Amino acid sequence: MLDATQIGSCCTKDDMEKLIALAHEHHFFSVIGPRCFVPLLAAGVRGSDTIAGSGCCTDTGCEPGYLKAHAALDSLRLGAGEIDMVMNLHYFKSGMYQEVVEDIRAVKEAVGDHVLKCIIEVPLLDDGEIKTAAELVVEGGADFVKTATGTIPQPTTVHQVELIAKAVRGRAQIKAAGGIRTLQTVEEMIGLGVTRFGVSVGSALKIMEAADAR
Amino acid sequence: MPVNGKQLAAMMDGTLIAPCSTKAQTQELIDAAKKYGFYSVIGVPCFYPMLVEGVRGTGIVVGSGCGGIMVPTEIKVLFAKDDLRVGCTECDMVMNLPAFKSGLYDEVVRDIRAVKDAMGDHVLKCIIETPLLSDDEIRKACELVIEGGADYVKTAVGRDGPATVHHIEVMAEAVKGRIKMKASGGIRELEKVDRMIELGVSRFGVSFGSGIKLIEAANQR
Repeated sequence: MLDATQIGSCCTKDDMEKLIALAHEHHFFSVIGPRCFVPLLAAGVRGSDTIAGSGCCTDTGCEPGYLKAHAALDSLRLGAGEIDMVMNLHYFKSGMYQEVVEDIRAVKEAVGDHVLKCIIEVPLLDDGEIKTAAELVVEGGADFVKTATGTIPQPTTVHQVELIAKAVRGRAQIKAAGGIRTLQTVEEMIGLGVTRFGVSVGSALKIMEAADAR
Repeated sequence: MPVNGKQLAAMMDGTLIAPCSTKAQTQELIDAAKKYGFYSVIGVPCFYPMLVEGVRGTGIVVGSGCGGIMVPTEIKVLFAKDDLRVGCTECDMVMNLPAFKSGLYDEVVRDIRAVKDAMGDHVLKCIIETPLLSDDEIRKACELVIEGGADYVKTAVGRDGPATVHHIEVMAEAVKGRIKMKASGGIRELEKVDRMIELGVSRFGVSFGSGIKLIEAANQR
């Protein structure tokens, strides 16, 4: 259920090699690194049961949809199997909901049958906005509503996941990401219907150890 | 003689790239740029057409970014070309930091050169993200940016900490006038601006609210 992630500005080729080795050892669902290393990650996990994921835009989803779509296609061409995008927060906060939906739809049409996860960045939204955003993501046709990029200091909370679960009612899967550090949080979120977690690889190993130790 | 507000505005890229910046705030940026005479406005890509339309006929430039820190070269080039197509005439890119930190210096240069080729005569500024670099790394990054053919070496995107006077000192010493310098990232005090201008900085990237305060402070002295 784990997208093991390492996307800090300064993470290196060596870090990617380590991430690949850990994926072979622990069978993560996917590995996600900086987009410039997608070919390296894809080659590193080829033939294993782990895939390489990729983003297709910056942290606020600010690019026009056609550019996100292009970047997504490029990542798929380079060997990524799934795409994570960010909802256009600028359109959303401007009340331009139709544009938000069209943006997501443009990327989904580009990636076709490949899984698309759309981040709504819950730390920047109030409860009402979380429900609206989840609804727009479903309307745009993404496969997953994803909580957060992890670049905002506040973590994703169980309460926020609950709001998303109530809004989507099974019409999309839920990926929880952003400051998820304890096994208890993970279990509560699974209880609410989360089927995928995005966790930085160091924290992920600790959570897995905790799950093994009980 | 220290700069006055008008002179400072003419060196300023008024920036609005906050995660939740809206269409209404983008209009405020356009209005402020016209009122104060910013050199350029930089917003988020989905609002570039609005910015281009908003400053048309004023001589104010619309600048763009082309895709973040970790983006493959081909995508940066595609974005840069699209930014030109919609009417932006300058571009700020970020050096490939993961490649830099991996010691893949040829890759760093190739990345910058590809974007510069796409920009042609249009100005390209390359961010090296000084808050994440040691002094030696800053010197090395400056060399690579010059080699890549960018028009400006730029300090920081603003998220990883502020650009300091010390960073500019190290950069100035390294580039020795071979490339222009843009300072950005947490620049909030006029004293810092003055000192950076003395060291050779010719462009500032400041969120436009802070930019207005600096311009007004410069006018009042």
